[in-house]
Amino acid sequence: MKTEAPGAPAVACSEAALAVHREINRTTTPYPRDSSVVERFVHWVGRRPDAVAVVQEGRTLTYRELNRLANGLARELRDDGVRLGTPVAVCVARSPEMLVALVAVLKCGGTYVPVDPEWPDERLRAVLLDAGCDRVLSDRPGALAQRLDGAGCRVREVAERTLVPVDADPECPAGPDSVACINFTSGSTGRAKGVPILHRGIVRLVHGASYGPLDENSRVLQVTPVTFDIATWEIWAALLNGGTSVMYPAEFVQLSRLDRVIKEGGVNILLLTTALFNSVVDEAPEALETVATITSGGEAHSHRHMAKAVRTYGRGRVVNLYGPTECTCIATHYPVDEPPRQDAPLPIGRPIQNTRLYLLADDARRLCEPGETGEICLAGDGLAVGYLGRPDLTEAAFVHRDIAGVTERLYRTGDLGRLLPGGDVVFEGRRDDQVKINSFRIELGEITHHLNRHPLVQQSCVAVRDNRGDKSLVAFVVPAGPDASPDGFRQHLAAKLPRYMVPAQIHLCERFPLTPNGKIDRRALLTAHSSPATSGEFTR
Amino acid sequence: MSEATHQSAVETMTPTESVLAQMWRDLLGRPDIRSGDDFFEAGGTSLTAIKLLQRVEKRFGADVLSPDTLYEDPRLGSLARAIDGAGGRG
Repeated sequence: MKTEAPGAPAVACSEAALAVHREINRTTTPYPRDSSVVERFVHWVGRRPDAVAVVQEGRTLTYRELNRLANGLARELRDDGVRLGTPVAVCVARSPEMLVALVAVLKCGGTYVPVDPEWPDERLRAVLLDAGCDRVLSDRPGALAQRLDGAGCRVREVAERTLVPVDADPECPAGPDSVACINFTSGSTGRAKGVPILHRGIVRLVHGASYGPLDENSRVLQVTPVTFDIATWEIWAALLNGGTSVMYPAEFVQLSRLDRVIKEGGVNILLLTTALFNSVVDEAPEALETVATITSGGEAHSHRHMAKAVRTYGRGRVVNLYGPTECTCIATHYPVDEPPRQDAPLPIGRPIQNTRLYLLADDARRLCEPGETGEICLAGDGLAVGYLGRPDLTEAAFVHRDIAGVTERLYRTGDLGRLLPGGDVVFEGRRDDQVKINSFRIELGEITHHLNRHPLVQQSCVAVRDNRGDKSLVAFVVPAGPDASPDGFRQHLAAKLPRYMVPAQIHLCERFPLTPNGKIDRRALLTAHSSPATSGEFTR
Repeated sequence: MSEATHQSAVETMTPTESVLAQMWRDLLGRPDIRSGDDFFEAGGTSLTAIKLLQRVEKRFGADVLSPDTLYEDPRLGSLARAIDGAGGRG
């Protein structure tokens, strides 16, 4: 969004730098910019009422059926007080009913907040509290109500048998600038950060897509947990284009079953997390052979897997995507048409439709020259409002800059990149210690924050072990007393953090080795503990 | 677990356990796999679990090990028993 912000600091730029950025940022494409997600969905209900909106194991809902069930639930929610901007947590397993819940919340003008029942109680309560939710929609209300006892949260059941279809569409108070959902992402201060996503951000994500064809013939796989922002794309790419959401039926993925779901559901476009994409390419590449457009993203891609994918599936089918939650899931795309060379980086490409990218140096005050490494900063209709209830973080990450006379609101990703001569961007790592493990975004600082609060921890650090592309977290602790045990620390963390953030291995150390400039030498720690279960009495 | 138990676990591995142990060694990148080990505590993640399930299916046949079984009791010995109990081909 180009906004008026008088006095925004000017960005210094050379002619050459400006020219190449102008070239890659010609992404403005007409789309229903002033429509809400609900309007776009209802548009397809009117146009294709009998088309299948969602299919899961032979069970289907047409657009009309999905809309009527959502109307029924929306009426109940409205009677219960859900209004414009009311946050409602959704804790429903992947199913047509989950879609009913999301659409119903949006129809009331509310904001849906996906939560995962696998999160520990402390995390679940913190997210509900930070999002301001006092209502949860759940398919297993009994168990959840017990866990949330005393949290001031009411649990309401959403199941096939509790839904009542209603014909009349309620008047939806939400507009393009309303908050549609809140995604939570790791925060280094020990608390997850809420990222409010606008209706416009979602509508922009799935209209006029430059990364692949999306229309009423699209059959989009839904396999990613709804707490991941990738699910935002999966769900709305289907439902806002008159297409079909093909849902994987169970919580845990089995590749042989994924193969069947894709083929029986006629999936023709999907977005897999990088980690799942790599696993499929390694273990069951045939699962994707019928999919016309195969996109993946979430973390730095692996050369080996990309090369194999292009050789297996051919040109024009494999797309590398990049994007943080703060820019509504996708920011750039790169069609991979040739197997990448080992010695050359594979780009993350160019900005997608209605999205702009700037590489900035000197605290985002100077536009990088072609080839110069700088911070990836994003602009356009995908940008989130900021961080929920964290003005300090918002002010640091979302900034206004005057770039050649145009004021842009920028999201500073903290990712580093550089421009290749052709205009494609290459990802070059992080400024801080944020990592991606199996496509989960993790601030290592969030883990050490919790470790350091354990009374038996004197000092801790967390590193990533990479076993031929399979990454896992390893923690190192200098204990503060003789009773310290890896098991005790693991239980401490498991009570506070989701499973994917609890290090698989925790090693006790007498002291930490330091690098010449005085930082903890993580590489030396990893090497010293490379054979975990045999590295001495300190290790379990 | 003490060294003594480790030793006996190695000695008494069933054929299915041995095959599984080789899969774990390959997936987890560590040589020391024993039948009492927990897949996730040994470094397995949700993604390595997907790979393990696929390899088990290719080696022992479809529907001998479900994701639910793996997540309920991820010890090597338990997985081997589940596979044998489901009639997995040896």
